[in-house]
Amino acid sequence: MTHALLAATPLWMPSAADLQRLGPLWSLAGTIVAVLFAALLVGRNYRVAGAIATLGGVFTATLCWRGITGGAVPFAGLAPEAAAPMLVVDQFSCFFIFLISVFLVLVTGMWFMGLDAGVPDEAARRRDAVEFFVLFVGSAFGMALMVSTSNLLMIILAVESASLPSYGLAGFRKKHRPAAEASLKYILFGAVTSAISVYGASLLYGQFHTLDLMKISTAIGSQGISVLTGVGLFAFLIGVAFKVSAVPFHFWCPDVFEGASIEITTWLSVASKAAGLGLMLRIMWLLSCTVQSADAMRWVAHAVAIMAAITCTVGNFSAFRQTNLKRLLAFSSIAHAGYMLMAVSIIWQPRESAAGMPHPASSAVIAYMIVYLLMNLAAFGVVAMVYWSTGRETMDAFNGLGWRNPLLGVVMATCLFSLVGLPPLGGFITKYYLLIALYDASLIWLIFVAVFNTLLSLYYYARIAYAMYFVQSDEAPVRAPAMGQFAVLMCAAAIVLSGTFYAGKLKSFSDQRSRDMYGAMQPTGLRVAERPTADSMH
Amino acid sequence: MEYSNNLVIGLLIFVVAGIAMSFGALLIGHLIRTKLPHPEKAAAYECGEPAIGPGWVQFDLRFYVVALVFLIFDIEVALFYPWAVVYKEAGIAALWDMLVFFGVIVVGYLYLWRFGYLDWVRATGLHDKRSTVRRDDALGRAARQWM
Amino acid sequence: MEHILTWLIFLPLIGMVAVLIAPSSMARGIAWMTTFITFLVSCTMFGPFLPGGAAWTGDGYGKAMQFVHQTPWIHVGNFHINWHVGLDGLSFPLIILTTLITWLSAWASWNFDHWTNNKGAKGFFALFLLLETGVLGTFASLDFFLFYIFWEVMLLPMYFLIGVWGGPRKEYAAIKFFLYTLAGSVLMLVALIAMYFASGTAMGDPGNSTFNIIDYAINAKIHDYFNDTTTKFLGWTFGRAMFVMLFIGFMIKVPLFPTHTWLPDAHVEAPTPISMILAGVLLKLGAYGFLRVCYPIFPEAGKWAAYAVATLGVINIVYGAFCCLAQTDFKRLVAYSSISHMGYVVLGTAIMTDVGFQGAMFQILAHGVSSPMCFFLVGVIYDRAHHRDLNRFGGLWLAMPKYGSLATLGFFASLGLPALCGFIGEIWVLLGTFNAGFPWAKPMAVIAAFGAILTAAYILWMIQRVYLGKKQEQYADFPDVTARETAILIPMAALAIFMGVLPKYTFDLMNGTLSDIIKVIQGS
Repeated sequence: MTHALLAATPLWMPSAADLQRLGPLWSLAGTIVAVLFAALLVGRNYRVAGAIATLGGVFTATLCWRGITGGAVPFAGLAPEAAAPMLVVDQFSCFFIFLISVFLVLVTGMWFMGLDAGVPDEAARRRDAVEFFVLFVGSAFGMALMVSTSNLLMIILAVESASLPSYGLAGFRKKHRPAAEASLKYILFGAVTSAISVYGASLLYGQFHTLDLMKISTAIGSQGISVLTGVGLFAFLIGVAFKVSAVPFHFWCPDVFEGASIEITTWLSVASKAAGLGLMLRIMWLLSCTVQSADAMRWVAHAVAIMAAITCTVGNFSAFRQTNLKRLLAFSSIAHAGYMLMAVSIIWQPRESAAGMPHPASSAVIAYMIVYLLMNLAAFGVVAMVYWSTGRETMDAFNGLGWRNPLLGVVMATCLFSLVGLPPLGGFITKYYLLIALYDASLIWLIFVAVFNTLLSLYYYARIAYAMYFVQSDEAPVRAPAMGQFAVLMCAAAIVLSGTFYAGKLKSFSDQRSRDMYGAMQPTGLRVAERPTADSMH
Repeated sequence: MEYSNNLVIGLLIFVVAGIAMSFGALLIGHLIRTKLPHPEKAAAYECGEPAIGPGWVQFDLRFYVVALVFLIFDIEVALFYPWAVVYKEAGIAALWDMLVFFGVIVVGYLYLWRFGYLDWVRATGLHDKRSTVRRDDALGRAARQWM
Repeated sequence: MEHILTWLIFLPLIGMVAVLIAPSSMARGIAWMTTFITFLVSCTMFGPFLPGGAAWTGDGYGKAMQFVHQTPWIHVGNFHINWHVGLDGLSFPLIILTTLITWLSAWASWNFDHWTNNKGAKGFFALFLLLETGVLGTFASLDFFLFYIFWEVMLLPMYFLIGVWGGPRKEYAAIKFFLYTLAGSVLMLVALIAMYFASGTAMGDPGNSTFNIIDYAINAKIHDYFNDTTTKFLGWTFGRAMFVMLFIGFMIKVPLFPTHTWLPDAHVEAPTPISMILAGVLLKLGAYGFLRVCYPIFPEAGKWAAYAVATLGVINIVYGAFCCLAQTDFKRLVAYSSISHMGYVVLGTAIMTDVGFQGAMFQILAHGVSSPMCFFLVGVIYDRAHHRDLNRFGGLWLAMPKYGSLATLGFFASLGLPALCGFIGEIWVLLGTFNAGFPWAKPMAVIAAFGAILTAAYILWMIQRVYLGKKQEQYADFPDVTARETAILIPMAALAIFMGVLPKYTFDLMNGTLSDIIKVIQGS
């Protein structure tokens, strides 16, 4: 019986070239196995495990960089039918995997630094390093999968395989009650949202008899959005919104950020959001890839815009009364996810042109993401170093930091005001690109929401600056590892430079990435082909 | 459009019926059952025997490890079967495919084995250096040889 | 020196790097030298602005910009953001004022170690110099985006300067200053984006969008589109919506009546040199924004809002003066007098005539000289008495004769005594308002003139309470002004007299540009 069924369809095997294109994914998956295998050979050695994770990250990043800059392969699918691929490794996903794997290397460095600088559970960390790195690289692999698929089923699988190791990582500090609580909350929330997400996917499949987003989009274009499609789409997007920690699916975020150890908080704050937003961008873009479906998607996009506005505002308001720095930064990261979601919500509008002008929204998200990575890395880096030195991560540990360790103080202040979005720092210029994109899409109310939120956020970011500089403290100077100080200083320098000398470079880089994305995500060139271009007018 | 409206109605019926059934069962039970509070009724049911100790005991974590390992190999077998059926058509690529899959799982298994996660008497095994270290070395030597 | 203006803007930044590198004992010396060199460099730029100079060609607004340096900064896709700086009669006097006042305040910070236990000298002077770069850049920018960047660059140093080195309620004052100003500038950001896109629409091609402030005013296509009442923004008339948003941004800085409350707090808590810069330079930025951005670009909206703006100006004059009468804190009194004096600037701007603009601009400069002087005078006595309660002073003239004379001169300049700088600006504004073509102008001029009487009242009363009367026991042995303090006061005193006696030379610097702007306004 089974045999007959399988034999009826011609058997398909991927070509060697296709397998090669999945290089970044192979590389990450291989790193996981290599960490385990090395443990078999040399025993529980945290240096070996960390070194292999680092090497794997560097190797993946190199592969991705070649994928981004090579430009030879605009579109690579791995599926029985090339038009409806299960896995897509294109320049767009290469860019996001690049970000993720670079961040993986940086966070690994942070982990190592913490060992020597005096984390409380140091012995346990060394002992459990192998498991830690397996989970860590595992979550990176899941995130890499998230940005390289356009198939409903694969999306759910990817979200799951990114989430499951993250649950483990969140609760990795054994005998630390907040960590256990955070992990449990994370699991429950993740389970419920992914159940809803699967339900949405099944509704969509039931209606369109396909799991491929592109085909669903074409069908939406011809049939319009019915109530059921709407329900299906929203239910499906909830799973992604959970990863981005969009309101009202953000409740796990502050607890997990507070409970998890600080490297994990850093990791989740950037990588998880990068993957979620990359996925969101792809979903929204593919769903509106024909002119008709773009029109039909308007309402879904408006809903996303409203969600973005609420995410931003709730994130900022909730941060007001926080005294735990990790928790405060968690809310700040929710707010920033809101800013980026604003750009995602306008991706349905046909703004790009065949002449190669990229969509301003995707370009804005990419630029924002790059600077956000730097800001968060440096901000969490400072929090980590203060924690290692004082054993506290509350606001009072920061009292007088500007005098207790001037370098950390300056770096932290730079990050904070860049997070607010003050010129001439990188945070401003990327926020500006975002606002420009919103204005271009005539979502002016959203601009007002965004600038109002900037004002709100100033208040709580300035509270940290206030603690660092205005409050007198007799506590001992903060000792921090030299490498760590150097690293955060470099981040701060990059933040300043990206807002001044390299503001144009940043923009042209993100424009190029976003152009790649269009090249990559338009195997059939649907939307551009159907719009009159300057050339076709003649 | 009609098609999808039908679906919506179906969906609604499904949701409403689902809610009605689950809550209905509870409600009916609540209404028709006899209420005779009794100390033995409140106790946990253990095959008619008088209960010993509280019902909320912590299960040993070892059960979960065994269950997980079983699950992984169970799934593997489930994958092996269709693979074996089409093996002829698929050719040599299928062999590599399965070897990679199997290899990954074997590495994980060996890892569990080497570090004593499969030991039933792990609580002492972890701290008693002699027993674990010796086996570690033996397996490590074997692995190095195999390389 | 080809790009002397760019160098001028970044000179303080170079000084800032030097301050950060050098040992902290040298910080104040480096800061003094840097600001002094900056002042000297700015003085070498007088040439084109003197009568008959290159800035006087009279080709119209923006045509005779001097020391222009334009180079692409962010040129990607449709974005054209330039490094574009230049000076004309509007910005040049303010640049001179800035470099002078900053130098004098750097000198006033010389006794830094006395009032802060020498905490963080490096940080203080580094931020101080960064602030000067921000101010100079804002005055010199001709690209709106650049203007905005520099405008915001000033915020951060000011926040820390008040918050770290300020008085007892410094935290409150600092965050209040920050929030108020940022609230205005985010509105400005929205206007900036909207104007950029609208300029592209006006030119018929998004590729031709521009941030050039001068083009907004003199490019016929853009100017007509901006001032066309049928152009819409969210259902509002475009020009008016932009005008209001920009106006709110600038009025917070001036500060105008409902948004003025940050100023007394900031002044009272800020250390003396920072108060000098705040009153002498930063408040001028708001007024400069009116003259450079609001009115030349949106004259239609300016006419539409004239009544409201003039009313706010008059309220400022009278309300500020009444507040002064009620103060017992010396510094708070001077702060409120700033609010009152800036009201004349707004009133002169609102009526949009030649005389009004000249008066406003002169008042900006006059206040820029007299108010730092007043704040420094307050600082001198605070250094000795360690309190600022007006009712506890008395007879200081007898104890400190030199100080008494200089103080009287400074406060009379602020009062608007004829032959001192304050008088010219006020009388010009009042005359302009009286002769303006609006029906409400004459009554307003009368009310504003009433404000001048109140000014005389609070200043004279204050002088009586502080300087006149019997010599008091506890102030008897106060040392008179030191050589350093005299050296700081003399330039400002000399300028106050010079501007009051020979106003022609000051007017000469700016009249050409101001009449060009009036032509732009009337041409629409």
